[in-house]
Amino acid sequence: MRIFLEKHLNLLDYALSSLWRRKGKNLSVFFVFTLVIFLLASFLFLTRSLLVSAQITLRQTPEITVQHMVAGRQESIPLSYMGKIEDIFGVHQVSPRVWGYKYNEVTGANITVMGLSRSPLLGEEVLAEGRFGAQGEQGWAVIGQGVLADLDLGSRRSFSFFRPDLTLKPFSVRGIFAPQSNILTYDLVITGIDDGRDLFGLDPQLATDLLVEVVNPLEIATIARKISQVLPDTRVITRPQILKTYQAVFSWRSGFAAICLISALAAFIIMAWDKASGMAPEERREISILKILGWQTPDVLMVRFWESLALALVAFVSGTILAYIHIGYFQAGLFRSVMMGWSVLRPGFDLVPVVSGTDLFLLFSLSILPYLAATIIPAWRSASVATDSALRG
Amino acid sequence: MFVNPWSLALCLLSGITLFLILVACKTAVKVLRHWDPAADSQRQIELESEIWLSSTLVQYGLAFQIISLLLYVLAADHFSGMLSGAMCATGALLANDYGLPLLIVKIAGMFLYGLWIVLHQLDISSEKYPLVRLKYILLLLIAPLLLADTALLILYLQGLNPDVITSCCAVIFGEGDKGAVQNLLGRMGSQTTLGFYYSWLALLFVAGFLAWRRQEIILYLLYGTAMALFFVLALHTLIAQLSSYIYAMPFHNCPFCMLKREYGYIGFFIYLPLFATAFCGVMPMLIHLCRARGILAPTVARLQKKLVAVSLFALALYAVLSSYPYLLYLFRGGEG
Amino acid sequence: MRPATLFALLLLTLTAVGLLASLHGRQRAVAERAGQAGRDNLTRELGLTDLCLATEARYTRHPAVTDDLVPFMDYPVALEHFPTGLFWAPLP
Repeated sequence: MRIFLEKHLNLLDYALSSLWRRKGKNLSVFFVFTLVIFLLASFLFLTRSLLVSAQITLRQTPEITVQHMVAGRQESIPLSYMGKIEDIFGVHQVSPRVWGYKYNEVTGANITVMGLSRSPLLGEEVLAEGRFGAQGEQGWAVIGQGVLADLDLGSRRSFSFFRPDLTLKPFSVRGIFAPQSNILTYDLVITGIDDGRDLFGLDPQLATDLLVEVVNPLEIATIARKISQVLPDTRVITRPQILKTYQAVFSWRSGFAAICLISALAAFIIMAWDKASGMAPEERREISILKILGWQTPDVLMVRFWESLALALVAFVSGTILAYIHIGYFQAGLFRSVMMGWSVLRPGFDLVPVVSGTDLFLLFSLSILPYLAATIIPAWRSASVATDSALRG
Repeated sequence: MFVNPWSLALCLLSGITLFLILVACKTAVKVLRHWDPAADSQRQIELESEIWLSSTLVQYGLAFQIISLLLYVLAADHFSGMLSGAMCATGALLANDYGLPLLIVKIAGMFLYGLWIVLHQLDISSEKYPLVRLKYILLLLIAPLLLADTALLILYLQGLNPDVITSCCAVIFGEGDKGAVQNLLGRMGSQTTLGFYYSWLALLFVAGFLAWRRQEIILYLLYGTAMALFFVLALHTLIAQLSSYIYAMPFHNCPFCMLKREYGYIGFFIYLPLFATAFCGVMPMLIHLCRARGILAPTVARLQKKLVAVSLFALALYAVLSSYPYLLYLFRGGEG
Repeated sequence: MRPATLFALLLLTLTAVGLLASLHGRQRAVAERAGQAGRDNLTRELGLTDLCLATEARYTRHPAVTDDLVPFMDYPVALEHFPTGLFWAPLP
C-alpha cells in the first residue's frame, strides 16, 4: 500500500512538472475549460437558485385555483360556480378574484392589476408605507415598487388607468409594497374587486378566477378532482401542480442552455484531443528516454491521466467559483437579459446562489468525465511511440 | 424528456462509454483472432501495445458506468419533482416500463464490469497474460449489455413526460386504499422476514469465516451462492422493512430517498458496504476457475483470501449500519 | 517543496475560497429567509401564484396559471416571439 501511494505521488509530481514545462499549451486548454465549466455552472446555479426561491416563496400559494375555459381559452368565470364549489365537503372558503394586465403605453411596461374580494389580513410589515384599503372602500390601490417607478409617481399618490372605453379610472395609492417582496409584488397593483371590474369593464356576475381554500391540505387532489367533476368546463390548478410546473419550466430552461453549451463542450473536447495528439519531437524523445529507463506503457498512461485530472480539477474548481461569484454577486449579469427578455419592469430582487452536492456531481459528469475520456487515446498514442525511431530522428 | 441537464448528462455518459467500449471491442476481435504469445511478429508486438489501450479504455468506461448508476438514481429523484404524482425517485422510475429494467441492467452491469477489472488485474499480474482471451470474450459479452443500457435509457427518457401521473412511493410501497398489497417486491410478515434475514446473515458470517480459514473451493462456492441470495434478500428487507425505520414513517418504503440530504446521506453508507460485500463475496467463487491456469494459482489464492476478508468486513459494516435505525427505534422510540 | 504539495495547496486554497463564498451565501440566504414570513402571508392573502421574473408577456409573467395555448393565441397562425418565451416555453 505504501509503495503504491509513493509510486502514484511520484507519478503525480512528474505529471505536474511536465504540465508546467508546457505552460503555454496547457494554459490555453485550462482557460477554455474553465470558461466552459463557468458557463455550465452558471446556468445550473442560476436555475437551482430560482427553483429554490420559487419553492420557498410559493409554498403558501393558493391551494386550488379554478378557471373557466371556453373554446380552449380562459374566460371569466360566473360567480354562480362558487355555490357549487362551496357544496363540496372539505372546502373551507371560495373567494372570487379579478385580475388582468394593463399595458403602459408610455414606457411599454406590463402591469398586473389584481382586484380582491376581501381586504387581506396583512400587517403593515409587508408594506413600505401605508395600508390596505378597508372593506367597501372605493378607488384604493396598493402598488409594487416597480409600478411606483414605472408610473413615475414620485411623491404623488394618485394615478389613473384607461377603461376599455378610454375613460379614465382614478386610483389613490394607499400603500406601497416593501422591496423585500419584490420577487412577488414588483409589478402588482392590488385593489378592491369592484374597482377591478370597473377597470376591466367586467360584468358584476363574473370574476377572473376563483381561489379555493380547503380544510385539510392532504385533500387538495381529491377536492380538485371533485371540482372538475362538478364543473367540467373549468381548469383546476392545485398548489403541487404550480410547484411542479416551476420545476419543469426551470429544468427545461437549464436543459436548453445545457444543449447550447454541449456544443461548446464538444468544441473544447476536440481542441483538447487535438492539443494532446500533436506531439513535439522533444516529447517523443522524452517518452523514449523514459521507456529506456524502464518505464512501461501503463506508467506513461498514468502520468497522462494525472496531468489531465490535475488540469481538470483546477479548472473545475475555478470555473465553479467564478460561476458562484457571477450568480451571487453579479446577479447572473450575463444571462439576466436572456432570462428577462423585453421586460420593462425588472424586479431587483437578490439572487442567492444555492449550491447542492448533486449539482456539483452533475457538473462533474458533464465536464470532467468527457475531458478525461478525450485524453485517453492521444495519451496511448504518445505512450506507444517506437523508441528507436524517436531517438534516432 | 431529453431537454434537461440530467438527461443530457446521462446520454452523454452513455455515449462516451459506448464509444470507449466499442473501440476496445475492435482490439478484442483482433486479439481473439491473432493472439499468439509465442510469435515474435510485428502484429503481435502491436497487439501487445494495443491491449494497454483497450484495457485503459475499458477501465474508464466501466468507471463511467458506475458513476452513471449514481447519476441515474439522482436524476430520477430530480425528475420526480416534475412528474405530477411522483413524490420521490421510485415514482419517477415507475413512470414508464423502462425505468426499473434500466436500473436492474445498471446494477447487474456493475458486477460484470467489476469482474472484468478483477480479471484484468489478475491477467497483468503475470507477464504471460494468461487470461487475455477470457478477458476479451467477457468484453464482447459486456458490449451488448451496454447497448441494452443505452437503448433502455433512450426509451426511458423518451417515455418520460412531465404530464404523466405516476403513483408516489407512499402508494406503491404502502398498502393502498383497497387493502390490496402493493409492494415493489411483495410482502411477508415483518417479524418472519426480519428473523429470516438475520439468521441468514449469521449463517453468512460463519460460511465466510470458514472460507477465509480453510480456503476450499466448496466453501467459496457456499459463501458465494449464499451471498448472491443474500444480496437479493437484503435489498428486499431494506426496502420493505428497514427503510421505514430510517424514515421513521411506516409507509415510506422508498429505496432511494435515504440517499438524500434529509436523511444524512445514510443510503450511501448502507449501499456501499452492501455492494462491496456482495461483489467481494461472489468473486472468489468465480475467479476460482482461473486457478486452473497453473501460473496464476498462488496469485488467485491470495486474492481470494483477501476478497473474502474484505467481504466479511463490509458485511459487518453493512449489518451494523443498516440495522442502526432499527435498533435506535427499538431502544429509543421503542414499542414498549 | 515537491510539485504535488504545491498542487495540493493550490487546490486547497481554491476550495477554501469556494467554501468561504458559500458560507457567505448561506448567511445571505438566512437573511433572505427572514423576510419569508411576510412573503408567505402575501402569497396566501393575495392568492399570488407566480414569481415576478419576466413581465414582458402574459404567459411569462404567470406561467403557472396560463395554458399551453396562450403564447400562440393572438391570432391563428401567430408564432411565439418573446425572448423569454424561449425559456419559459410550455411543457413539452
